[in-house]
Amino acid sequence: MVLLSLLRDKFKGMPWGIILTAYAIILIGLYNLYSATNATVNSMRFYDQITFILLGTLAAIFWGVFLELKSIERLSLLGYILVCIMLFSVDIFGRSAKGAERWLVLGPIRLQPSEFAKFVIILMVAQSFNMMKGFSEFSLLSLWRQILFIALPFLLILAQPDLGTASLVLLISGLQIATIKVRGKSILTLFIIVISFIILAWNFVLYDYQKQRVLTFINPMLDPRGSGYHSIQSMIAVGSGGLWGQGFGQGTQARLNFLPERHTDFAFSVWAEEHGFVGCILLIFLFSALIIQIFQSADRARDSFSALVSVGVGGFFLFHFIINISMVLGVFPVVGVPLSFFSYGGTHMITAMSCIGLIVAVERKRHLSTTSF
Amino acid sequence: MAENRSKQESVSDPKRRNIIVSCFLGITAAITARLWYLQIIKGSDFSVASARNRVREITRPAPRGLVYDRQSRILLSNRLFFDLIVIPQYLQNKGKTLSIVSDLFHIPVNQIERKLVESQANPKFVPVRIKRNLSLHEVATLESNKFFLPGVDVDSAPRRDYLGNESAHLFGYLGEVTSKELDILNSQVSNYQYRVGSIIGKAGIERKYERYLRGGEGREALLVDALGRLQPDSSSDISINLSRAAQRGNDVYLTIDSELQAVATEAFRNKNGSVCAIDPRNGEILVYLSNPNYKLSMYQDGLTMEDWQTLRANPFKPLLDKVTGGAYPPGSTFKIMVAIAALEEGVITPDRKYNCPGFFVLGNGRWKCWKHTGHGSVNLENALKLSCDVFFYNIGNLLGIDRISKWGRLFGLGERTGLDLNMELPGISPSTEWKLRTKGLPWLSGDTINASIGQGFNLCTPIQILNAFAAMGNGGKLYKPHFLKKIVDNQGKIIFEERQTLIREIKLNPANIAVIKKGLYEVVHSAEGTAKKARVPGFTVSGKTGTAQTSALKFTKGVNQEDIAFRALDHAWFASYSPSDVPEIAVVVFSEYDGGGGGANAAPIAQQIIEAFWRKKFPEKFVGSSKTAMSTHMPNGARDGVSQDDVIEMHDDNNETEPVNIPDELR
Repeated sequence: MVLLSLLRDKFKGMPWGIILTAYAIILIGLYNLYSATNATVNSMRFYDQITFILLGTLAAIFWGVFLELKSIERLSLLGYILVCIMLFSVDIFGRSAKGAERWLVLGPIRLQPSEFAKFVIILMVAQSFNMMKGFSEFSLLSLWRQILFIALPFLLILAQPDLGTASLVLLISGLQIATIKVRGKSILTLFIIVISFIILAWNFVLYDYQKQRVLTFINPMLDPRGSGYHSIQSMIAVGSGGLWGQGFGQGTQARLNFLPERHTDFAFSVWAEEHGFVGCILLIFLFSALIIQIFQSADRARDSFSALVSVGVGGFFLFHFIINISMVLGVFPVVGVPLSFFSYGGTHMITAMSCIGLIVAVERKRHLSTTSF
Repeated sequence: MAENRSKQESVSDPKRRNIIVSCFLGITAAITARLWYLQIIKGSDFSVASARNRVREITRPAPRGLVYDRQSRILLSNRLFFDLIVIPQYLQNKGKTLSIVSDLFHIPVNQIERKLVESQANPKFVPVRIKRNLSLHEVATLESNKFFLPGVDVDSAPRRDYLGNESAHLFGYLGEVTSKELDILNSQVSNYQYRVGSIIGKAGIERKYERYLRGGEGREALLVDALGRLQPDSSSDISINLSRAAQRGNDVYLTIDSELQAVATEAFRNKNGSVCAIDPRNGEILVYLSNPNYKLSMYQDGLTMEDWQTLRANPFKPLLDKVTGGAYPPGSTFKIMVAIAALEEGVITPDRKYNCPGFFVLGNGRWKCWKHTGHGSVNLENALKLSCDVFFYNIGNLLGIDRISKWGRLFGLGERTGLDLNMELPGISPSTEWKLRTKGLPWLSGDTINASIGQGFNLCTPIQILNAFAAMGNGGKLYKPHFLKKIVDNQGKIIFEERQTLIREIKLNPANIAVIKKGLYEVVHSAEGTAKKARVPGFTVSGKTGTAQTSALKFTKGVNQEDIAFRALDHAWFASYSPSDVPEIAVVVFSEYDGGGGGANAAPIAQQIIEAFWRKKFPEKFVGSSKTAMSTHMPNGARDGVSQDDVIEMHDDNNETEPVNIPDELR
């Protein structure tokens, strides 16, 4: 009984809307994965994904229910250092996957530390502003801490090399900073720096395969058998879905292997092929609802840390959603960005659920602070 | 109160968050628009692209049309042949499996692997043919070992069954289309385009009637995955729309009489040259045979390099169709041309006699008659009967080459008959203009003397001689020889029926024809005739023997000197028709490098064909011994009381040829 009342106490202020939206997407994703992995023949991946969802749920409960936001804030630097060490070790002895070292193998567990980096950078950026109370406006120079915090994991991930994830780390933390009252002049300066950085990156940093991906994005038909193949096959899959789709398990593009990476990065193609425009609109609506609710949570937040964490989590889902869908629809280069809750993958599922856990923690803290008086 | 304070504390600006959310909603709207474009506007295009991805077409060869003879007996059929195939998609434990296959079928492993590598570009489900035309024993061997050989199978395909027919030149072989032929053929067909690897008729009637015989290949739409592996549910909806069954080609009915063809084949078995027979009333070819032969099935089984070399190296040219594709000196068979020219041009009267002392002198030249002792005083009828050379030297000399050539051309010599088979040659009907044009030399009167007995520059294909004799027999109607009776589609509907085509009706004085026909009758039926071996008891036969000297070729440009050994032998000709008054069959036998005369070597073969022809038509006349049959059918009742030894034994060849070649015309 005591435990029950304790639990009831713990569940006070839960953001049920966000949680329900998230699980709706997860269930649709699971349903889609059953078809995408051809689970009637080999259901190993399907069950794996269920395990990941359960692990993710545990992670969300851990962050959102068992820990207070205050302790999370205190733990964030430790977590940040831990993840940076993991990223560093991946760079040194990572397991290769398609030309990039992204995996860290610890016995039977294989981890993608770059996914965790997205999570810790949200916390780190949010936490870093605690030291800067009293600032009403920020110059670029005054943000040197944040720039350093972001640059370290960004460069470590870029070295794997994993441009997609590195960019996401940059984008998510950048979105957090973008909501800070930064001076207009500073924003202009940053803009120039970013442009010159892109030019430099194109000439000196990007690998040929990455450049190739960007080039065939401009015209995928240039190389329909090679680097344009992913884009074209994905567009064929999405396009042949039509209004109502070809039906569950009927998508030939997916089932006959024409669609590459169909259970991970291109899971949305499978959904689009089998459930058509109507199914896609449903999914887009759910993702929009999720992201807007998270941003609303930031609006309700009482303190900088809560608000920035919410913005970071919102950015997390926003960028994964936009980049992945754009990639699937052939309007963005093929970069390895999964669709949260939808694509197969353990690390990303746990990270995304942890992000939901952070929102739960934020909401619970606000609830406690408003009801304690 | 507390809420306000904490909001002021927050460094995160709500306005900026609103901008971000607005941007997000804008991008979401753009994504929705993009989805609308891909799925609704371009949806059907992408559905087609998706179908193109997963549907592979495979073709099934169509059985070729059947070939029948004039009595609707099947000459060429189809039957299922079995091939050893390997399907890469299902192949397991490749090295071991292939070594077992290699042991069972005696094929080197590296040969199998080479074939697999060659077809790597194909989808994985496309079978690779390892060995063609397995024997039933081999099929049984494979079936009993199939369990251990995943991916190895037997495939069956309809192919020509030649039913033991040996007339390779008539039917022609089949082979894969060449890239040059592909363009030409595809410009002629509207549907069922030819493709690389299509089997087409390369010679004979298979080639001539290719577009009727070929049929329409079947098509099967199969579902494959990205790696080209066949999917199990291929037979579902997609197949129904795109598949079609193979359509057998149209059946061709020939005018060939397979019984006579068989008789001719048997009679001509060990000889080189050609035998052909025609119906003089309409130009229908009854017999068509060229020797030496080759096995048609050899081509179908896949001609090996050794086979090809053997065929090419054979000095008797088995690949040459000697009915239409070879032109030879016609020898004495040409004398009817000189005779009709002389009569029609009024150079001589039928009763004009020339004395044959055994030689003919013109200027410094001296031409021998084949009978050195001479024939004495002979008229045209007797000259034909005895094949007296001197008589024809005389009238040829009076006629001049251009008038001989004119009449030869009227009878179709020097031009293609229009049979259009196996690269038909036009032959040569020489004239002064011809010699000047081709050799740049003036015509000499000695050339005329040679030409008047069918030697010299004269070159004729056996089909030309046949057609000329048919025209002579029917009183001057030169028909276009043809094979085709009708073409029937696979529903039994006649889609084409060949009609007789008259090339020209030669205006001839019936009295003149009668003289020549009398002479040709005497050749067979007179006691002194040169072709007594052609007699068929109970029926009249007319004919003309010919023995063409080939030693002249020794001096002809382009003749390989090494081949002189057999080229120096004579060609034996016999051209004939039966019955003598209104012929129903004309037969030409041309025996190349025979070494003997036409009367002894060619006439008996023609006799067998003519006898078979009549035996078929009037079997009652052949009841009992054929020797007892009375020659009631003959117009002037010539009796065959002549002993079997004939003029051939008198052959005394003069091999010391003078600079101006004087051919000894024989029999």
